[in-house]
Amino acid sequence: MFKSKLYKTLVIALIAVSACSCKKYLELRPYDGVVRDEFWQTKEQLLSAVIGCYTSLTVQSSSADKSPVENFFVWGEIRADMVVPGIGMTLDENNVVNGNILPTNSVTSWRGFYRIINQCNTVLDYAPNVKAVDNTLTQTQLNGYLAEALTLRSLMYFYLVKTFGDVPLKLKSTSSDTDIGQIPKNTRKEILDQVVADLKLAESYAVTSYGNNAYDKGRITRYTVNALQADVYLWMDNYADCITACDKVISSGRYGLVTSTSQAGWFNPLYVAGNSAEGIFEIQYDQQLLNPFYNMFLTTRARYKANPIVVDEFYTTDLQDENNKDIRGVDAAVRVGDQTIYKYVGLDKDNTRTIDNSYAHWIVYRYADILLMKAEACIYSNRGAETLNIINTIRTRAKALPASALSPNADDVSGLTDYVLAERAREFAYEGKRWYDLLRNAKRNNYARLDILISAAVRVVPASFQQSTVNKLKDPNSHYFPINQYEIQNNPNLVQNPFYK
Amino acid sequence: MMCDMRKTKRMIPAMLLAAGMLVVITLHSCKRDHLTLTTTSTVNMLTYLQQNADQYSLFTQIVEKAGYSSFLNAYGAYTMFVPTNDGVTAYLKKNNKASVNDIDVNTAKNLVSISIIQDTIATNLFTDGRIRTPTMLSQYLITGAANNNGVSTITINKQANLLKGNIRLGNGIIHVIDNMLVPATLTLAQTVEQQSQYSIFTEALKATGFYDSLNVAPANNTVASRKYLTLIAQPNSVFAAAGIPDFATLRQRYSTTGNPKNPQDSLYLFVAYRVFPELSYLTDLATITSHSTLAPLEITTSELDGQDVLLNNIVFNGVLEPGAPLDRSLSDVSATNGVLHSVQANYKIKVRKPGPLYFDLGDQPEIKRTPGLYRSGRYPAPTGYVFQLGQLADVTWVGAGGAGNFFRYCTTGPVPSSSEYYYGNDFIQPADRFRTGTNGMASITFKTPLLVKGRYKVWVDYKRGTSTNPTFVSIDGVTLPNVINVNDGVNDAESDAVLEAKGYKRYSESPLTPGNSAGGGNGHVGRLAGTINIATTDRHTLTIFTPSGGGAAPISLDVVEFRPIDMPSQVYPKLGRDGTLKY
Repeated sequence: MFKSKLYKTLVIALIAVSACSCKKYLELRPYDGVVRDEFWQTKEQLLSAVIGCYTSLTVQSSSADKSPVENFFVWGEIRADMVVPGIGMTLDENNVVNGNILPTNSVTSWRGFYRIINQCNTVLDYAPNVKAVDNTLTQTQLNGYLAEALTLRSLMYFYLVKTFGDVPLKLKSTSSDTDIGQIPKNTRKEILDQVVADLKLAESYAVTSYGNNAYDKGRITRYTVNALQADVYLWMDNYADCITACDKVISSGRYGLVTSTSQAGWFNPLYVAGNSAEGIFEIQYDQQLLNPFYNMFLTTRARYKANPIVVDEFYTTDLQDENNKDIRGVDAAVRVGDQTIYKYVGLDKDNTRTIDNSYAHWIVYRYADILLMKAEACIYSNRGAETLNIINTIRTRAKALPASALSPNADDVSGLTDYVLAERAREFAYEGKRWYDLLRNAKRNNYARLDILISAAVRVVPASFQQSTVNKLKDPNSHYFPINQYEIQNNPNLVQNPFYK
Repeated sequence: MMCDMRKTKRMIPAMLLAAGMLVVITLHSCKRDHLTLTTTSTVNMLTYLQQNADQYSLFTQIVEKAGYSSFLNAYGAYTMFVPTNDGVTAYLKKNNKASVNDIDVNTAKNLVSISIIQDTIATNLFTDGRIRTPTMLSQYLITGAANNNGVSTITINKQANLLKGNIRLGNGIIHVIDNMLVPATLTLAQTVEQQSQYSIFTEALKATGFYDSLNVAPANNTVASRKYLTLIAQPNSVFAAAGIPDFATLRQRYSTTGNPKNPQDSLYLFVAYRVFPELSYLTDLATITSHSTLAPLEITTSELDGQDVLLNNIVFNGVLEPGAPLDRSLSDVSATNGVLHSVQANYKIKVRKPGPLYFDLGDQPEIKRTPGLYRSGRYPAPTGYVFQLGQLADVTWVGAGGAGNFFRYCTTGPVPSSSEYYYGNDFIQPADRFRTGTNGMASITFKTPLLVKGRYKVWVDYKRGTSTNPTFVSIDGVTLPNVINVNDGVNDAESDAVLEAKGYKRYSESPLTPGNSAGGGNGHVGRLAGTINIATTDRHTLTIFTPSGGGAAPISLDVVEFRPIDMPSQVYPKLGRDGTLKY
């Protein structure tokens, strides 16, 4: 009897002990991370999730990938005519310059972009629940966060449409295994329609100011939404809405051109210090988060150099007086001696950044961009005189040389287009806009100005590839990248761009 | 026993179970293993064609007929262009053949050989011109891109479009094309003769005897360097535009000796000037700028201007002589022994008299383009304006270390000092130390402006310095005899004639400073490096080098003068501070 009691006690004790010790290794929650149902509890967590979306713009999704900011530059510039290969350029990038693009080319990887889209989708899916849990989160605050996620997602889709044409549209987060689906491509129109709808919603949700200059430039405000709307409408040839969006930014009174009588007075606030009065949306780098530009532009193995024709043909020079110059050209966009792309690595005329203070911001939109987008839209709205006024405002600020001036009539659509395009090249040199500017103007009215793309290619493609590149560019499908082989292999529903067979 | 029986009975289920397991195990082991014995499922070319017989069966038959099937299934590194069955059918129909069986073995061999390159060429190596390696038939294939109704495709040999590229197989790469590649069968002479638009040119070829030399298949050609040629043919329309309606007029205008077969005859030279002893497709002409011709010592220059390939587009004495553009659509025509291009303007050998060339070493396009630099008076020594290797298109050097591996362009100050009489108020310094070894530049090479063929005296104009390293000048690799020592000065007590006899001169407009036995002419000294025979009118290479490793001083070079030996004076005109000549 005693024995059986002892046994019973022992057995119960054993069960008690083992059940206890079981807890740790049967526990499925990770020790070193937070899972979804523990997250999305407070408004602080919501804020950190939103800020995480921005941060992802600046980091590589894998070591083989470029960060989205780096891709903004690479996709926006190396197919155009202002960049030539430096010594350190990779073979894949060189093949893009030569118009020799295969689906295996790593430049065509879009993973970083879809990663941010997924992050934004996660915020959009789970943020509304936070309000139920955390009563201190107001509806206005929640809407602000939703606007940021919607706008950032729209920005990503807009880049994808401009770069790849038709891409898959994913609007729900991939939060569990069941969410992983192999979805086919949507047409670019479907995607742009979604972007337009999202931005309309975001505009009504977004805040106008965070009460802090760095936040106002580094996070999405209502005016960022308007800027993106203007760009999207211009791409869609919807000029009236583009002008409306531009006017919203202009009439806000929050932004203006950086005016200065000296080059340093213009270069320093805009590019060295950053977050100037002109900036609308700038991707923020600082000492803790260095940008990739030092390695791209400044080392002895710089990957990209300025095309030697940029100073001659875009900014022009006054050979008599070196001080009489377009302040955007020599020693701002380009250092002439070695054709270094100077905008993101220069401190002033003579000094460059060192690697440990390489944290110039990447400017996504600034006020001059709004003005020139409006100028472009005005051309096609029978408001050519306004176009010329805007161009002259920009040129006066920049001390542009008379040699780079054109004199089209206010009703000369083609001439005005060339002028705006050239002025945009001077104003936004190396800001990741050139290729998209060329393509937008070339594709308008069913490729009426295909010559814009071809003459740009002739300026930069090596002689041995020139004619094939020219003939390839006559096929509109070639203006968009192929879907990377990795994606095609993993998703049989994706159909390759027919040009890349 | 009963007990045993019961025991046995009890054991029956166990025994059945054991037997069953045995059966299962035996049956199981009988099942054949499916082990993959290869490391890859990638097949070789022939197998691939056979596996996809619905598309490639006809080409496979041609390969088998040619007897090439075995090596296409062995290991190697090939590139093969495979026409689809539709392509082969079109070829058969065009040649009135009912089936592949009607093709004879030799034709089959040619058809397959032109489609195979013994190299792996993916589409990213396709350029505007020939593929880098010839086919097995030793003819080159050319690639390009064409646009039809808004759809661009890569073209192969102007005969076929690429349908699917870069199929990587065990022994190379297959590119699928929509048409059969057909090798060229005509020589250059026959190709020209066949086209009526070249009738005047054909007659000229025949009259000068070039028809025969252009009509030799490479296999039969005994001169190794003339196996493959480039011919610039001139259509009748171009002749007509130049006022030459027929061959008689052409002969009358150019034939100076009356016998066009005479190598001295201008018509002979007119034709010879259009034959390059090299295989140059348009991309080669666009990237390589100078080509020798069969006219003795006459070169043709070529360059890409925008989208046009121009021949003889030359800046001579500061004047642009517009070049003759090639017609892209009629050019890049392959023949068995070369390639044919068509020119859009009449051009001929330019007779030029040798003239003096004052080559200001700082007169480089990049320096002129940099605002506020060239002759600006803003970059005096010792800082100057520094260029690194690769930044100047026409200057290269061999140098090492921080003090030896750069090019410095210097001007005088805004007002040149009383001892500075540089030509154009500028000069160059090849690095800080001109010497061999580390921290020194041992040689620097310039591409000269266009130099007309003839005999020249070469003067190196420098500012006297402390370096005593012996320095030499070589032109196109021929070293000139005299040593240049920038420590050498001129004595202003000596007359120009005496100095010239010693191989020195005062090249600048510096006033005389009598009594100064070494630093005369304010140290601006012209030193005769030697006399050179320039054989061709072209841009030549000028190298200044030192074999010596001592010293730590820079040398300041101003101008290299090429004065024809029969020039009235080797001293005058002198070179002025303002960049003009002083007579």
